[in-house]
Amino acid sequence: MKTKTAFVLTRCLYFLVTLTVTIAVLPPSVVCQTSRSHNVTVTVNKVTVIAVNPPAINLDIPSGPTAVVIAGVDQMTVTDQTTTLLWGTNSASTKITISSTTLATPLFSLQAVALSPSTGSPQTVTLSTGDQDFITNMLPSSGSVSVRYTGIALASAGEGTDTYTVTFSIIGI
Amino acid sequence: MKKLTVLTAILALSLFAFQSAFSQSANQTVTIEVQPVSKISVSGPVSLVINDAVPGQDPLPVSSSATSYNITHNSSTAGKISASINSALPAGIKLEITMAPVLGTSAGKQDISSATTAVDVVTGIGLGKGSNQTITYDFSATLAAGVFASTVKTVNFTVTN
Repeated sequence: MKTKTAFVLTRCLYFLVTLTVTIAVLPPSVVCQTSRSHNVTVTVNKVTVIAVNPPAINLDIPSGPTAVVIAGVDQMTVTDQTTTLLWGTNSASTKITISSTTLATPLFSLQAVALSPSTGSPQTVTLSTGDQDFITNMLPSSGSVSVRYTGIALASAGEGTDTYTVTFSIIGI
Repeated sequence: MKKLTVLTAILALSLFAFQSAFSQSANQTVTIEVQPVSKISVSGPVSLVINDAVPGQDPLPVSSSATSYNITHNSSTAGKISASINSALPAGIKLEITMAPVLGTSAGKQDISSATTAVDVVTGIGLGKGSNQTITYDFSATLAAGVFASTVKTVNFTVTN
């Protein structure tokens, strides 16, 4: 009995010593809960991105479903509304411009217009090599809009094929 | 753990691909193809009635220039207009047609009384358009043909390359 009590007391003493030593060697923050701080710098740069789908379309006169050919009329037209333009911008004011490659002797002309974009003012553009405003005064936003192309050919110009590379650019002002 | 690592890598690559599809400019190829086009329209109808004669002669013929045609042609191959009638007129009754030669050359007055197979009326049609071009009908009959009750005939015009 005396031996058992001594054993228990010894174990308790051993625990207390161990606990005391542990507390003595722990970092002050663990024991005393002192607060610390540092600076974090956050930045949001101007972001303007754009994409177009599909990558290629064909306008066909007179086989296209929207082709208009009238006997006695020189001008023939065809339209396409399968293109989707997608954008994202956080700039206070943004515009999208449009341009096309130079064709040495174009037979036909090409017009484009954005159909009711959710922000900004659309412009009907006859494509040329220089950048032209396509959608202006856009607010910070993201979205998509359908683009209607109109191909215009004159019967007096004959038959043939014109291929344009159309470039859409988004510019945060 | 291995599956989670692969899934994470796929997700990261997907996000990267999505981001790289967007840039500050985007290109699209737009092709306009204009194939050979030949199109004609005609006004009408027209009515031709023989109801007078000079004694001792066949009835007086009648003419009409009241109808016209429109044409659009863009082929580099010269086109032509041909005309036919749905069923032949009886012997002694003649229907002739002359078309103004816009864009091409008129074949002059052509007898289409029995032209169930089309005859050329304008040839060598070039690029461009013509509108409100005159079609002239000449209608005549011999005394021997007798009376021909009012009958509707269909004249068909075809433009080809």
